Amino acid sequence: MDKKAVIAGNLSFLSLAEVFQLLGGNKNTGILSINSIYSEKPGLIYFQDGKAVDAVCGTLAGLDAIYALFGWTEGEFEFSKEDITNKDIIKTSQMEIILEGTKMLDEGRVEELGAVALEDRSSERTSKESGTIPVIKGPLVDYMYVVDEEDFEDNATIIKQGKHGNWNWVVLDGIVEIRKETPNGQVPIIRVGMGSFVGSIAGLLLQSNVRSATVVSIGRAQLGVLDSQRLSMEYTRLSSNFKEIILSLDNRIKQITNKTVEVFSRKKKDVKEIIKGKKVFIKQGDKEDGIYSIDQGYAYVVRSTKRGLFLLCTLEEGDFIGDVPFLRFGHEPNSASVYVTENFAINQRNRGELENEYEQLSVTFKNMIKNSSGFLSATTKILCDLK
Amino acid sequence: MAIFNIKKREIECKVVYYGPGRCGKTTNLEYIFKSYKKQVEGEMVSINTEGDRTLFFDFLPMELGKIKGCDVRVQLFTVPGQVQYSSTRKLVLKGVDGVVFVADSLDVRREKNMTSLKDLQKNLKEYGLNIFKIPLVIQYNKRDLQDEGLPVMSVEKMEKDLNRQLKAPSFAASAVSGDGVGKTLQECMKLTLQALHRQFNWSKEDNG
Repeated sequence: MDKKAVIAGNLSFLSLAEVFQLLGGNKNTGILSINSIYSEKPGLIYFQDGKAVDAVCGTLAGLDAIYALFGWTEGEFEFSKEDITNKDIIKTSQMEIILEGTKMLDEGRVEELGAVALEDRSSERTSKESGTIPVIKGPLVDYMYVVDEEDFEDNATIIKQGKHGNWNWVVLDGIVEIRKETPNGQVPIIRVGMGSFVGSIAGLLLQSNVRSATVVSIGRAQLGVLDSQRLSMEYTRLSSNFKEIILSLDNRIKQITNKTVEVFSRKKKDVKEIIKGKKVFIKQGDKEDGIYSIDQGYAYVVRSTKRGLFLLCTLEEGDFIGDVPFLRFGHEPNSASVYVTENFAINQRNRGELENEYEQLSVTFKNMIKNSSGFLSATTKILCDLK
Repeated sequence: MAIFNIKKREIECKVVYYGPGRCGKTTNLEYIFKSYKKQVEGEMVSINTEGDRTLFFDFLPMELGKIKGCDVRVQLFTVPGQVQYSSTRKLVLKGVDGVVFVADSLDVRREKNMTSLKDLQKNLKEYGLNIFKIPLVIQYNKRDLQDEGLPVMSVEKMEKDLNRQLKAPSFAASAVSGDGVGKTLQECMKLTLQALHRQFNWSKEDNG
């Protein structure tokens, strides 16, 4: 927390509407800053005596910026008490802002920023937003784990798909683009910004990790090389069940990025054909809090949206399915169903034990896991938004 | 749960008007806003939500006096009934202190009333509130339509439909002309304040 910050917290616990009421009721003056891993820059709202007087969110300002911020349902807020010099450009009363903002969110008129919600609202987005590649931002960097800094000029290839490599980077400044190499050239998948990790957790384990994508700097970028020895040591200490989940998460990421390429090259398979005759193991939107490891058979993770069914990934022995509390990757149970083959067999994992293990991880390791799930959630959304 | 505002020495509580679409929730609040101008603080916020409007304003009930030296401020809300407005409903119903359920007397709205009341029960439950325990007043609105020859249910029938188990205080009203509007609000505020007093007395006992 910044030393000037007087209150900070998580938006999933206290919504923006509630924060507004709190600051309004106490007649506070200062700046409310909102951070989301899905946005490169924080959103800012300026308060004078409990009243919002101005705001900034990306290219938006004033009231429009505030309403856009109502869509940030996931993230962290921080209020710092300080004198502000902003002119009061918002003539709307507090409660009107709160009710209007919440209503716009309900009507899908502001874009929800977060792990993809059950009801895919993206189809209602205006066309001007589609076609741009989103940028994912990571958590704050813990410099204890950065052993070296490297600068890259614009359009420099940092990682080349197909080459061997174990290094993991964290973006310290600038933006890099992750691309897949295809016979028809490079396909851009996603862009990542400050705090995001580049590389693969699996690279910590495998001696000869083959890079599954190409990473290129967009403009000047500075990347920090992560202390792989330290991370590897932390990785080896993990229980086999936990390792399995991390590797399986990595597997999902690889599959989703490959799927995106398939969509680009129009090689999409017929999902209905694939799930025909398969049993439903988890239904999209159902309450399910088990974590299972697959013993035998196949599981197909399928998201249903207004635009049809999307096969997200095919999982097999050693992969996990279910609801992992510390991974918000936007698949089952909330945003995808799981279909399984006849011979499917599973083993239930202990949720509490996994959660405890996660809690004991170093901040950097936690960030890598968080970042990977955020990446998976965002790439999945992109996949389902593509035609 | 009412909020203590130490800075302003105020207790802020929330009363919500609930009921099926077009039952007259907003007409109730509009009448209050117009007729009790002196007790209203600030402007009325009106948000157009599909099929209905969501209204809000602050109300300072003079006649209720102070609690522990604090003024009482009542936030009056209506809530949009449509399913899609889940965040708005959550925002409005969270921490609600008192509810006015406005029922439509028109014959054809009978089922709508009952569904909406069930809906209220379900929504309150989501925020850990019990419809049998929360201060609740029922209003049978649009009694005036009888004079215009429209088929209207009798108050007895509506009591049986909606209030047989709840046994909440109920009033016949005609929000357009303002009949029964004040009485409904006063009763709900009385019950809400009584509930608050009870809460504070309990805490007194707790302290020994």
